[in-house]
Formats: sequence, C-alpha cells, structure tokens
Amino acid sequence: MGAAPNTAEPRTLDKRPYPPPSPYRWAWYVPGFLAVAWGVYGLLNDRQGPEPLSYAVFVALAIIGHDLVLAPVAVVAGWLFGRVAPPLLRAPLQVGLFGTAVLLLAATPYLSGQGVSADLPSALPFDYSARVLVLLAVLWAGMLVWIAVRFIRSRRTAEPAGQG
Amino acid sequence: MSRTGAPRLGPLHRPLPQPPERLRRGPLREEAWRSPLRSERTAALLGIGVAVTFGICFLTGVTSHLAQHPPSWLAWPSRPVGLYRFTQGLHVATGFAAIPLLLAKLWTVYPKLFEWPALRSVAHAAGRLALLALVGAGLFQLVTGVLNVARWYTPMPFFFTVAHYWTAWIVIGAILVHIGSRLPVIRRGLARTGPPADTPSDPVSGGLTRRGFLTTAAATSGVFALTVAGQTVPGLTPVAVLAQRDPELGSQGLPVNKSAASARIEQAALDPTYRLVLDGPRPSELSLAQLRSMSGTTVSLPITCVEGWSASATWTGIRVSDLLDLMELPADALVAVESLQESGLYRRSVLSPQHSRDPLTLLALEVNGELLNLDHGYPLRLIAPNRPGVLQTKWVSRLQAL
Repeated sequence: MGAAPNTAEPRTLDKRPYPPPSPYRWAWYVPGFLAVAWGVYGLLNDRQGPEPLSYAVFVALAIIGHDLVLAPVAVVAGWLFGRVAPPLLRAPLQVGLFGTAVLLLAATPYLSGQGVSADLPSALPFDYSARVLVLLAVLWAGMLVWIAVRFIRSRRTAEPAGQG
Repeated sequence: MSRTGAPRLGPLHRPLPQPPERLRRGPLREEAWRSPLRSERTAALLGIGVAVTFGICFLTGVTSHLAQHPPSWLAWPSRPVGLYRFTQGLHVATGFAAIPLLLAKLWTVYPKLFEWPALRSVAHAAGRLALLALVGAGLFQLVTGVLNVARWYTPMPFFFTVAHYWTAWIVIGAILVHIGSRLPVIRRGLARTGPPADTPSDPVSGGLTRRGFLTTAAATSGVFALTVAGQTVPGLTPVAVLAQRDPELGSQGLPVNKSAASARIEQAALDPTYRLVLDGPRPSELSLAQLRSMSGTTVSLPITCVEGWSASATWTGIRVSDLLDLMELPADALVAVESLQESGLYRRSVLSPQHSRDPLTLLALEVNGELLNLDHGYPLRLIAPNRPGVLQTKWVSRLQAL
C-alpha cells in the first residue's frame, strides 16, 4: 500500500511518474510532423480528395465508435465476467471473447453481403457466415480443451497424495 | 532542469486551471483501473506490433501508389514478374493482422482517455490532440481498408484510394511523433528490471497473465492474416474467412473485377467494324482477323488487384513491342493504351518503356486456352508483368504514342 495518489503528477499505466522526455525526441518529431503535414496537404489538394466534412465525419464516427461504444462494452464485459466467472474459466473466457469480438467486428462487412453484386459472381464467393461459424467453433473448442486442462490440473494440485 | 532538480516550466508547460477534485468520479479515478494487463510493458510491446504492421502497410502501400501513379523520375520495373502481387498481398494481409493489435493496444491505454486533469497544460493539450489524430487516422485506415476489400463502398462517401493514401502519411507521421514523445517510457517498459512497485505481481486469479494477453493478441493477428491470405495464396483458400476472392474461381478460371455489363462496352466490343487503332508516327488500323493472325505468343502472368488478391493465368496474344515497332514508336517513348470504355478512371493506362518493350507484355486475345470472353476484355486486353490489375486495360481499342 503506497501513499495516496498524487493527483498533481501524471502517472503511467504502471502508476509510476513519467521520466523526463528524451533529447532525441526531435529526431522523431521532425519527420513525423512533415509526414503528417504532407498527408493533410494531399487530402486537401488532391483533385479527387475527400470532401473535408465527409472525411471528418467518418473519422469522428470511427473514434466515437471505438472510444464510446466498443471499448466501454469491452471494459464492462471484462468487469462483469471478472465478478461472475469462476477463476477456472477466466482466462479461457478472456481469450474466447476477445477472439470472437474481433472476428465478428472484422467480418461484419462480409456478413452484411453489401459487397456482393449480381454481375460479379467471382467477387465475395464464399459462404461467409458458415466460415465465420466454423472459425468460432474451432476457437471455442480450443477454449473448452483449455478449461478441461485447467480443471484436471487444479484437481491434481488439490489432492496430490491421493491422485496420480 | 534547474540546480535544485525542480523543472523550470515554460509557458507551454505552465499548469492550466484544474476542475474541482469532487468531479473526479467513476472512470476518472485512478483506482478505477486495476487490470494488471495494463502496464507500460504491454503497451510498449503492443505498440511495437502496431508500428511494425502499420510500417509494413505504409511501405507496401506507397509502393502500390507508385506502381499506379509513377512519377516522371521513377520507372516502375517490369520484373520480378510477381513483385506487385507479393507487395499488395502483403499489404492487405498485414492490414488485417493490425486489427487485433490496434484494438488490444487501445484497450490497454484506454484509462488514459480519462486522465485527470484532462488538460494539464498547453503542451499536454497539444499531445492529446496529436493522440486524437493518431487514433483517428489509424482507425480510418483499418476501417476503410476492410470496407474496401469487402466491397462495401456506401459508408465511404469519398474515393477510397485517394483518402486511404493520404491518410497513410498522417498515420505514419503520427506514429513517429508518438514514439518520440514516449521514448523513455518505452525504454522503461521494455526493460526487464523486475515488477514495478505499485502493480500486483500476480494476475487476477485465474485470469490471463500479461504474457497470455500478448500471446492472444499476436495469435489473433496471425489468424487474421491467414484468413485473408487465401485470396492470393491458393493453398490457403479453404481457410479464407475474410477473403474477397478465390484465386481459382471465376469465368475462364480467373476472377473478374469489372464486368462488361457495368463497363457498357458490349455493343462496341462485338461490333464487326472493330479495329485496333495504332496511333503513332506510322498510323494504321488492324482488324480482328489481322490481329488473330498475328497472335501466337503465350505467357504465364498473374492478375493482381489492389484488394490484395491475385490469380495466375496463361495468356496468348501479340507482343506489344511488335505493335510498337509497327507504329515506328521510338524505343524510349511512352504509349497510352485506351479502352472501348467511354468513361471511368481506368479506361486508359500508360506504358513506360520498361513495360512496353518487355517481351512478356502482350495484348492478349486468349486466356487459359480460350478466346477472351467479354468480362475478361474481349477482343483484346493488356497483360504485363508486375503491373496492378487496374492498369491491365481491358477492351483495348487504341495504342497512342505520347
């Protein structure tokens, strides 16, 4: 138990004070800022560049979608499962849920079928829902095996004399 | 630093007025975030993963841009034959691999969104704005990338290629700035100097360890790459879940990217008065019968699309260099290849001498042993080594000296 947190001083994820900035940081800042400036210049000046408003809305929706929807859901789910799930199940659930969430997120455009067009049958030809389900089944089968292994190990450590 | 060790605060670092402490509730409290998975080390390692994947995507992406829009000072080479196929396949697979890594990294640093006070100083505010650009541009690249491969264009009210290219410069620049600002923390995070004082040494009982968390992120990343690679590596097609194409599936054994119907060339292509116009120092026109009699060279070349898929085929037709000799085009001149398509970004492509004089570059009449069908570019399509698919002009009607 350390001292009460010092709200005046910023702390890292390890709850330690930030070290002083590196003198080499400008070797990264200069090319970095130049690259950003080049990208912004291109976005604004390319003849086929995006409408600034459409672009800004897209970026804003992406940030909001992650920071105010996806991440809170992940955090709350983690907190909930941490309270409800027995220790045996915790790590397998974390892995299974992470894999499931990320896969479903990336697969949503394919599952929506929005990209399929009648005059291009060779585009998006797979049965995406079937393949996603198979991949999820493999993932959760693996998690079940892991749970079983943990269960067997926990029994062994619980009764070392009686079991072999 | 002054002699007493207390930092001298310039105007950018002077503290801004802070909100009252009683407003610091819920996620704004430091104690609210207790997962041992959130550490300097996991943030640094995931950051390396994101930087490497985005770095590979940046290099392969700029390569793709240069291949499609070669500047006057750069001649995109025609060999190795499969170079573009490799770089673009790598680009898309790596982009998908970046998704779990970026999401894991954002989860790890999520408490930072609620740091208190929100704006410590002007410098701090600038740093947070830079982070907003980093996160926004990073998410933009991955979301637009997936939408494009999945051919879902409606959510993107802009030209994908243009927006995605310029944002690449923004995200790579933002990554460089971010690394520069975090160098000492990264170094500390990567150093194995034992457990830091305030963090519990054991994970939440039964929960993932830090190593388990990183392994999960890396494994998911690998799986994502494999599930999309099947669109360019035929052996992986059975496990392709996020792939746009089966490289061996399509009319005449090859996927199609622009149908004849959507290009609206059916009438013009089937017109018996069709001629290939050779517009050069010695102009001429060739009828279909003449073109067929000249056809005879067979090559094996892949078609590679920017969405990262590619498929090989054998093509039979006429060497473009032979046609250029017929036109009496100088050896170092450029030639434009035009399509029957009346409108569209890719109705016309330009061949530099690297490609136009390469013996493998053909105007093909046949693919995989059959006469080209309308969807594949009947009566003539350009096929050249190491060239993006959008520049392999279909329904060719004219070669024009530039």
